[in-house]
Amino acid sequence: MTPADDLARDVQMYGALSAASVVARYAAKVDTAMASVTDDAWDPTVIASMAVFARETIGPLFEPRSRPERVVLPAVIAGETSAGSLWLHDPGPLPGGRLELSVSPLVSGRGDVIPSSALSVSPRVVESMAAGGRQEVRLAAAVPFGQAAGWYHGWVFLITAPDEPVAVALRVEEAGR
Amino acid sequence: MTTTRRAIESRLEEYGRRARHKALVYLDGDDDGEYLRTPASDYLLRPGKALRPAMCLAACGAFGGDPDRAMPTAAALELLHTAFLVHDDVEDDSDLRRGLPTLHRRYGRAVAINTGDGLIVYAMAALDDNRSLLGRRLAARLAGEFQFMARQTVEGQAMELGWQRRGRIDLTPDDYLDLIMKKTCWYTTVLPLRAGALIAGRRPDQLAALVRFGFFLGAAFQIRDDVLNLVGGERYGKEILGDIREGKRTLMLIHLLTAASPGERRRLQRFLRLAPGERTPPMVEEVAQMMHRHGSIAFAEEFGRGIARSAQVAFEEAFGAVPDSPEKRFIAELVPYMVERDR
Repeated sequence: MTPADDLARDVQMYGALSAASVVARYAAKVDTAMASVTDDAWDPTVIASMAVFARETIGPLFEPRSRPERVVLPAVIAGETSAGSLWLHDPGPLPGGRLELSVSPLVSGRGDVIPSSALSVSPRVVESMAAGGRQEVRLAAAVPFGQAAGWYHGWVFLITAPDEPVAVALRVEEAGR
Repeated sequence: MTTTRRAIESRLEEYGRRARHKALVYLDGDDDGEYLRTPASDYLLRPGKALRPAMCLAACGAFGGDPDRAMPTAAALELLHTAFLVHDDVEDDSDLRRGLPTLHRRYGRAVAINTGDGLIVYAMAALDDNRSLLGRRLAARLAGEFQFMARQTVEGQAMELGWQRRGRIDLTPDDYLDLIMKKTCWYTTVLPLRAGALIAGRRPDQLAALVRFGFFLGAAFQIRDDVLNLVGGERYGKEILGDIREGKRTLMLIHLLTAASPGERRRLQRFLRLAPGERTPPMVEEVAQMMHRHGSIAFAEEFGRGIARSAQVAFEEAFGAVPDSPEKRFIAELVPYMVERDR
């Protein structure tokens, strides 16, 4: 594979991972919305009512939009370390009795990569969580010297819940700014 | 054009012809036609891709249903889509739609806005026909699906307009995907697939895979649409570089804002702060050249290919257990078509 092939593959993977994250949120959202549609709750004549249609479609424009789960680390320059926290909220019984975490490389829009070896999560394994409790996970990125400036994106994966990655973003600034 | 692409476009034309014929029936009314029916039928009589009704009718057939029972729903989708196009063209002040002047250029803004409203009312009438055709229970479910979709679409449109009005330049590809899930995918692919499946008798708990497949397919479609706006040929039918002139936060613009040099970024920011009418053709061309130079178009194409790959996997998840049929093959072939189409 040529470097161009590698770059294309990384961008394709970036697209696929980002899309998987978005769709997971919306699949849950539509299930919740449709759960309220029952014979008793819904009379199809409602669709003939312009007033109801307008209220239901325009009203949400004025409601605050929920943000996706995302960690934005403080901006740094190459050679510095950026760190931040994400919080795991009680996920119910842990699959296999524990929760394992890993972090993907961070990739920029131009294909520059901060490798996994420069990133750490602590703790890597959560053995238990109290009902209703939460657990802080520290995420650190030691940005290598010479790393190109720009926005970098990646994921923290919960190995036992692979369809719920947490997006991570980090801005590497140009030195001297 | 390849044989497969010709076959898909021919199939799309056939689905589109049937859905538009049905949609035009709902335009009949007591008025003399000149003031509402004529402008309302304008876009319906121009050849579009008819992707939405096609997805609905094909999904119904692929899941073993009778596509004729999905016809009012397909017509409602086409009518609602047409309403959105009319209003979009006014909001964006676009010149061309399917190679001809937009409705507000032809009839004026007031008539165009009212025609868009009228098309929404016609779409509701089409949906209302489901009560007698499919029964109260399924009609109610479909009405709920339409209402959820309509919410997503108007929220997405509001988000895009808000980004432009506020001059947002801090956006990421994730923000873009969030936008197109709402603005495009729900009504272009997700709802048509789910509605077709429901009419064919699929249970609501069997629809989650169609959200995944629909989103991946719709996202690949929208990214291709955005790329075509920069590099489209004579078959494209819309104003080339119109998205740049309007300041749309496409994947290419988001990439460029990251990849550009500090000096170029400052020029871009100044460009985006201008009103669309103040953005001259040379300025627009300069932004397009920057996108070429910094690989923003190649980035978007690869990003879209990655999502199209996910669509192929999701197709197997959604349709893998369904017996082979022309409808199933048609839906499968839409995935590569979305990434390679030239209009």
